[in-house]
Amino acid sequence: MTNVSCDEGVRRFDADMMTTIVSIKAIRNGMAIVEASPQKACGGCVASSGCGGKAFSSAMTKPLPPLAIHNDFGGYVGDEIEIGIPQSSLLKGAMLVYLFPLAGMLMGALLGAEIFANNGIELIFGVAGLVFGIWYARVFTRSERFTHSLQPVFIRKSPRHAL
Amino acid sequence: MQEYALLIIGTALVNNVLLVKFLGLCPFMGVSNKIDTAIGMGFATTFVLTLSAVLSWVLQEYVLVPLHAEFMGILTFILVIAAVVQFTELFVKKTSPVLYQVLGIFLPLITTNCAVLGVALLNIQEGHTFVESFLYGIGSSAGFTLVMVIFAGLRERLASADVPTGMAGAPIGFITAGLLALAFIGFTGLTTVKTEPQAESQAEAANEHMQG
Repeated sequence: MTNVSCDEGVRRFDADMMTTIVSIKAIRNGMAIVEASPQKACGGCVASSGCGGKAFSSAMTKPLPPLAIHNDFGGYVGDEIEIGIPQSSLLKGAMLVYLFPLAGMLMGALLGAEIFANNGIELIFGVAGLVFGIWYARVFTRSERFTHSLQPVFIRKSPRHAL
Repeated sequence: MQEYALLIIGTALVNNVLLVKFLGLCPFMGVSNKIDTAIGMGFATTFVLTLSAVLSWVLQEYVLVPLHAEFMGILTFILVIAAVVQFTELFVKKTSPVLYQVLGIFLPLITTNCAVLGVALLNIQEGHTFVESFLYGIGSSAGFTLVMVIFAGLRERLASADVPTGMAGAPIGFITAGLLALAFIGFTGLTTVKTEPQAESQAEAANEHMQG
């Protein structure tokens, strides 16, 4: 929040930010509670009604919990705003939760293969590596510094709102 | 170790899941507008695809084959993928609730496509071991991520290019994808590098056998 400056209601837009439009559902203790629909991995074609992938994705997708943002931009309930997060923080987070457990599993499986060369033992070593990777990702992503870097910032009021 | 490296290169570049096997084309065309989204999507797909390939191998090896129920393969693997997708969501939520919130808003959390099932089935068809299954999944998803990122980069450049009106949007996207697929055919030579020494050694062994 410290690197954000205000300029005629539009915050400094960093080109390295990932942005999305959310709507304000409530204002509580100086915080704007916003809700956003989860991103979908498909939906780019017209065959959505007959697509198994779309059906699978819709069945699995759950609503996201609301997110609190500092309401120092004077937002009201019902406003649509654009929020952003540094892409480096987001990609670092994605790498930590998705790739670290796999890296641990790979190390474990290769170690098992080198020492025992037996599928069952490799599997056990792989699972141990996966658990270690998950533990490491959990410890790292829960650190205060990392959590702070994941705080989305207000960028501007949505153009739709301005109309 | 060399065969493991060749397996990864082979699956990532030579038999690329997107441009050679034509699996997972929905996210390829639908979610490849921005490089950062493509990278994040690639990470998520890597996790789901690799775990699905490994778990499918485990079920095939330790449940379906002993029970002579290989015909249940596709159904079982679909259930495995559904379980892995649910596990992934739960795991991210429990690991870091803040990250779960932010990832869900900016990147797709539910990442499943035909490539996930396709790789699980191809992996069984190839008769891999546990480590090979894992590397096959890693290599396939590395290839998937690589192509997604390259294509997203090309589309970002195309967005600011002066494309004729009739070609703008999907048509130029398809042409670019076609050219990219042609470029990936160039990697086919790598399989020759892989198979030539083996073929030579086999021919030598056959000659010695004939002479002996």
